[in-house]
Amino acid sequence: MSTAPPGWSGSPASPASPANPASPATPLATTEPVAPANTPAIVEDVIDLPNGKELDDPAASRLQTAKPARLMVVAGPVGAGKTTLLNTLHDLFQEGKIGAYSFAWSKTLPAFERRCHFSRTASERTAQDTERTPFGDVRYLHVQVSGPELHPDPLDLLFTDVSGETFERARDSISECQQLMTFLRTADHFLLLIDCEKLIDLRKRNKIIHDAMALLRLCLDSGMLGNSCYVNVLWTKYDWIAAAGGTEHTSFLEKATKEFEIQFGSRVGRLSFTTVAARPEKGENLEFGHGIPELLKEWAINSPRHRDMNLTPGDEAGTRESETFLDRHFKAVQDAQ
Amino acid sequence: MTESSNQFVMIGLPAAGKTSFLAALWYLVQHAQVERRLELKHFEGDMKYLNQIADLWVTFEVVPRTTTSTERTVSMVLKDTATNRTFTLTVPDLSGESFVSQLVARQLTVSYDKFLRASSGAILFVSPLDYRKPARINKAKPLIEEMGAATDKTDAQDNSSVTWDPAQTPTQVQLVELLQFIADRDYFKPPFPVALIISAWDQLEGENKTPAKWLSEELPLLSQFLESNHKLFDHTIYGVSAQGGDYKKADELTHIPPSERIVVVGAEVKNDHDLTEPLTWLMR
Repeated sequence: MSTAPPGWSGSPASPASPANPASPATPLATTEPVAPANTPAIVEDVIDLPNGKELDDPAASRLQTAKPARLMVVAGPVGAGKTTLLNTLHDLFQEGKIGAYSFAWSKTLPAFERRCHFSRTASERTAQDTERTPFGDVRYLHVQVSGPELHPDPLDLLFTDVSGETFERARDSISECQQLMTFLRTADHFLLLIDCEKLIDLRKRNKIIHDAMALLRLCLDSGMLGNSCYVNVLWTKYDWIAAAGGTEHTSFLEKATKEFEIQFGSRVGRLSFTTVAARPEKGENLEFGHGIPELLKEWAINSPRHRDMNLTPGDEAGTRESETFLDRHFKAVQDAQ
Repeated sequence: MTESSNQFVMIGLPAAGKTSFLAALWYLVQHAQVERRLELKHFEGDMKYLNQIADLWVTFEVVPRTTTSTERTVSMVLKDTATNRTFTLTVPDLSGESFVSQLVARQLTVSYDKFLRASSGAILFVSPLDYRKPARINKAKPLIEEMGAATDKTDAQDNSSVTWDPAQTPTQVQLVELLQFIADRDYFKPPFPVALIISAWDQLEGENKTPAKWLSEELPLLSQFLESNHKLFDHTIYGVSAQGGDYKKADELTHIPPSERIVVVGAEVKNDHDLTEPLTWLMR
């Protein structure tokens, strides 16, 4: 590394200013005299910039007021992959466009970076990890996306950053739900994460689905989640099911999908299903961020705010999506056979 | 003939090529060795700093990076040969550390903010020789394992990992944030022109890529940001070799006029030695 030769930091001829620009080689601190080398440096006046951390409730509300930012509630128990899903969205944009969609802006870039740290070599870890979201007040992460269906206005997505513990604590009581999950009131999308790694356990898998359905029912029955909300059921860590092979687990997902349709198809604005493997570790067939391009397209194309109000909620749209999901899996099963 | 002024802000992280650009520019505008759109009209004021860095440049010496203690604003009185307009070009030569400080302390100095307010465009520098990419552990793992590094680590080491440092985030994240800071200022008026310069372009000659292609492959987040926000930041991308080659092989460069060492590549470039083209693009 080079250093400046002696004398380079000498006193300038005269201060520069926009009104008097022809004052070459003057320090940028235009309003202060230059300190001699042996005196303490002058502390300049500064202007605070946004801190880049996760947004709190007031900041998120301001963003929703200023722009039609869509509130995406990311729900699921501890370890279902909520943080990993969002971290991977950030990581994918760092590697290029996601399908047809481009990164446009983020008010929380440093927050994303801090959360991705343990999956980066800069952490000097040898195995990737995700920091658990601590129990506490809801925080939000922001991403703005541009793309073909989003012209001329890009899509502002505001994701909740809530610990799985919050959802677990709220499960037994309507009033707990109303107290702990006030953020549900303005939700546009409800992302319900179901951990496929846990579905592999044949004894426990029905409880996992039961818990997920109970959570969605609780949010709806408490009146906190509006029936116009679009619900995305995400089968996370799908690499576990893909690696297991056979039809045992995919058949189970099909049955669970059908039951979701029966139970909730007519209770929400739209019901869709996506398999996700944000950071696949099992098997070698799924790409990094599997399912996220599909999700992004889902959010870009289907907005509860632009919904045709003549559509019967959960009728045409919901059925169409679940058929797409089932078609895909039947085909996968057939291919495997 | 009218007298006016143009202020541009030079943005870049440490060692991105900002000072080398200034050094080569100061030499180029004084000599009629190549076709160039802007030329020096006359000397004015204190030119010590510009002369020092240009002297180093012309004698194949590495131009030292600006440090926080050597930051200054430089001006040149130039004539646009296409329009005969005379104007004073003013740019602050800020250290890369000052920009890192914005990202870490989350503060702008009032003096920089005042300059930004009066600026009509920015030159954003990226060095292809010194940029951090976001390296995912799982992506790098096969390579690490091949090198035998991973297997030497214990679990204890794994748990006591390096804490996150905002100064060490990927270069593209940092540059996007610096642009977002500008666009968030209340006086910001779009479209704000940004000439993005990929420095040390001679080092990438073998890759046969356009500067825009290189940017989209190596710094895709920044590339997407600029494309998505073209209404906020009207931008164009150049590959620039201000140094003109590897100084270890300086003897091979001594037989050509110094201004011919400069290489400027880009979709809108008319003269591939004319270092003033990014400036005239900003002024158009």
